[in-house]
Amino acid sequence: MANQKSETALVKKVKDIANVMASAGVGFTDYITQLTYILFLKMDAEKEELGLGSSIPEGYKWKDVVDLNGTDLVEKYEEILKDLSEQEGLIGTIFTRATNKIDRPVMLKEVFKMVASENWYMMEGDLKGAIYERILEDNGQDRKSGAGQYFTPRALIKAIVDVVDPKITETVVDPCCGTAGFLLAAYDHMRVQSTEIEKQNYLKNNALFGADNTALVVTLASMNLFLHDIGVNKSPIAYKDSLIETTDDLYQVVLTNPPFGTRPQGSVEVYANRPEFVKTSDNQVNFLQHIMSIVKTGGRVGVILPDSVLTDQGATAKVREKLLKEYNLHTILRLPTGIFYANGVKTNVLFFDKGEPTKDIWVYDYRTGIKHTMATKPMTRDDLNEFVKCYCSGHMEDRKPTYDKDTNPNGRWRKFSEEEVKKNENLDFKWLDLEEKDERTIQEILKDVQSESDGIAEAVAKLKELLGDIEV
Amino acid sequence: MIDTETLRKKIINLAIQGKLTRQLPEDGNAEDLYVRIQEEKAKLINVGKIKKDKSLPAITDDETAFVIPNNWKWVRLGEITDINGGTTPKSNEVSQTGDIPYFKVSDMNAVGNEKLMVHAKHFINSLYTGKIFPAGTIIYPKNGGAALTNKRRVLITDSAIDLNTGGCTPIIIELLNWVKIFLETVDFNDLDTGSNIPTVNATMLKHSCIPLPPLSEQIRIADILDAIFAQIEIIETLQKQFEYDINVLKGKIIEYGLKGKLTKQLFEDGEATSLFEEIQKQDLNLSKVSKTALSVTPDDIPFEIPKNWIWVRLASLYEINPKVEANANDDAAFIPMEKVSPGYTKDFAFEIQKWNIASKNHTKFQNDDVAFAKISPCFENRKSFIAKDLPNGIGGGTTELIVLRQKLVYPDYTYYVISDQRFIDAGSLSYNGIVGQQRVKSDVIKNYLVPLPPFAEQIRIAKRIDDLLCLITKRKTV
Repeated sequence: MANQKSETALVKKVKDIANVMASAGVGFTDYITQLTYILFLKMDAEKEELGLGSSIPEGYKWKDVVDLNGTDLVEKYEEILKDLSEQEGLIGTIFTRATNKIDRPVMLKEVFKMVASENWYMMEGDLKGAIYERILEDNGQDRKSGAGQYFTPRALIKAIVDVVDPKITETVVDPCCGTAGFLLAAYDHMRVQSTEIEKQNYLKNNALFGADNTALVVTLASMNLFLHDIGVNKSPIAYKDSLIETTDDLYQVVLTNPPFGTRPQGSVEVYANRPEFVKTSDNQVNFLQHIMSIVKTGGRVGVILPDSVLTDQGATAKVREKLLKEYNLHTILRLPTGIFYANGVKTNVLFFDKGEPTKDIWVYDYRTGIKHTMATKPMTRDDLNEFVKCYCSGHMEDRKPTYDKDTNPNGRWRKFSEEEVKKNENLDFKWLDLEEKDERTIQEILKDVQSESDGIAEAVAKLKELLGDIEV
Repeated sequence: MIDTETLRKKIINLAIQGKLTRQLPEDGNAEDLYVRIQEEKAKLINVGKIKKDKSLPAITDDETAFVIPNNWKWVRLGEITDINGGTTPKSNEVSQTGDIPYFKVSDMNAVGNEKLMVHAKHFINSLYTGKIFPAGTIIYPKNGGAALTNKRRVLITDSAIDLNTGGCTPIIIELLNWVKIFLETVDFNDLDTGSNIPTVNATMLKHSCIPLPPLSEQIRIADILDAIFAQIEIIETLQKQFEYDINVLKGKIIEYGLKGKLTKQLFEDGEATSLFEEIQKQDLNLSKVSKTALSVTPDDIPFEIPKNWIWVRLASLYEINPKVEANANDDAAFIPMEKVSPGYTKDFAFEIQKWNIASKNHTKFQNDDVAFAKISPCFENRKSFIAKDLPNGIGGGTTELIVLRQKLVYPDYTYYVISDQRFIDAGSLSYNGIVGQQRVKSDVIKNYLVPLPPFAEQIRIAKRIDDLLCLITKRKTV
């Protein structure tokens, strides 16, 4: 199929340059960011050629820089970045805090040449978007400090969107959107629900909302959406810390994967700005509280949270109490380790609605006895088929457990009644007792060993770089 | 593998000597910082937040362990921090909820509290009169065995601590990272002056000499250490996974070898059935197990094997713990359990003893016998060996061994049969006895299904596995 071929060919083109960049000391993330800026300039120029106008002020366009060379090129490029970062609207969002990271003119010229060699604007949104997503995904997997701190696996996002099932007339928000994976998946899910122009326009311009406190990912997310023809006039992504800067807006659907770990030292205290919160420095618990505060009554939430949120006492327990009292936490999906590249992180997806207290909790254990590795056995959307089927999205009254104490004690889908929930001192529901057998083939283990070895070598190289010529 | 612990220590030492960063003119002088700290300290003493301590003596040259950059200053820890012990609250002063958490030494071990004291189980109420330590205090066990573990955590909110915990509060919060870094180089074992119970001597701690850089350089040092340690952490995690995967790999290689997947089956090898007939022709004292018990039905077979192999029950193949004939005064090897190598190495070490001593009430074996430990955890650890080059060809050893003998089966092949994960699983699932004294059930061993290839292929398989394992072990050095 022509599309697939061009997608692969284009991705290869981009990645080939990435390798050239890497050998010149420009990291993948930096390269992707600069590529984003340059791509945008080119697409604006193509748009103008087609008579559709330009969003960029005179003097700072593609034509003003593409023919330059050497230090002139670098200087003009940096001038453009500075000016555009100060613009309003979509431009300003894409060029948020834009600075040049490719200071060698020859290298910069390479990127310009590559971008100049294709016509991007007329490419189908799907194709452009797919290429960009592929690059982001590889970037997210290659390095632990990739663009989205913990790049949520697309298979998981898709499954969550499938069961939460946002509708084309609803508003969807991701308060820590990273590279906009959830928003894009929601968009793909929603746009096939109607052919009415009005609804499609609403979806493209007024339905999706995101925010992130890292300038870099705001750029990538805005570009990601832009390439899918979403937010072409105004980026739906805000550059802000959702926990601090909040509005009274409420949304019908919240889909998100908050960043793991504690709030960085030196950050503004959440409690100072959100006195209605239970005071805690646990980032995920704060995000949970925030999510609870922005969902409309009758709205639905799908959020990825680590085990600690389900089990910790103190402030976290208080937040759990509020969750169970004022929201209906009807489903928990327990996830295996090895699907994010933060090693050993144990996570869950919590699904809850606002408006009624929790009664029964249904738990799908996709953790016990499940082995995934990023390199050789990544999680696929099919792996979650049974879960999605059991979820009975839209008709939850039809749910039936696969677990049975006598006939199927290893069933992964189990209902915990209201009494059982109350008896449990936390939300940690385990019942499977499977033996973990390593099913990998020799080839797969060798691949894993190679990737571990490569990872070690890469870290050693970075260490050497950091230490410079200091003798250790 | 990279020794990350040593690497960390070396790097921190470079950091506190100012060798990891450049000193910049815009940093200014640590002397100014020192003055600022003393002013702040005086203010805190005035409002009663900290107690006025005896002033500390000036630092002499022999107290400074190394040369520091010109714009740094040697100070005593007690001059730039406030060091105190905690107070254990009474039972009516503690509750399950509250604003001010209370930490005991054991709370430092709670999951999630590995660096910052994030999770609290107890809180104090308004009845508590002990000192509340402010956020940014570094706490450590100061009494008891834990004091020597060099465990340290940081409080992220005002908290109370128990009397076995000490708190070191930087006079100004900006010093926190630097003090933390410095304490990494201090071994509390050196400050232990407890006669009975280990105790961190607070006076000695206050007297410790710490190099003080200007604040802006402190920040640069903290930043670069973060970046370096992030990489070291990645290396550690990956090395652990690597070790684990290498082990799994070794197991799989043996598994594949015993399935005939690592070697070609050659026509000239003949059929294993002929080999088995020859084995049965020997007048051996094989275990007295009934013929029916030793038969193999299609349902029993765990996996497909090449056509010219056969499945045989272990007891039909090997003599188990057979006799050894020798003279009482002959030199023999004696192998205690400690001298048997675990894992996939076939060697062992021995002492020379007279046969009557080596063999009396011990397991006996001779050259080409294969022996393995029958007791947990030695069994899962694969403590086993092939008897080779024994003095006079004879030896005795720990009673916890099972010895297998079959001269028509290649010993190295037998070795891999009993090193295979399937054998270990079968054995360990069958454990008899109380915890600490668990042994594999002999019936399970006797009934174990052994895949038997023709002799020539046994040799090829054993050699192939040898080569591959050797290759892996060589490549392990990353």
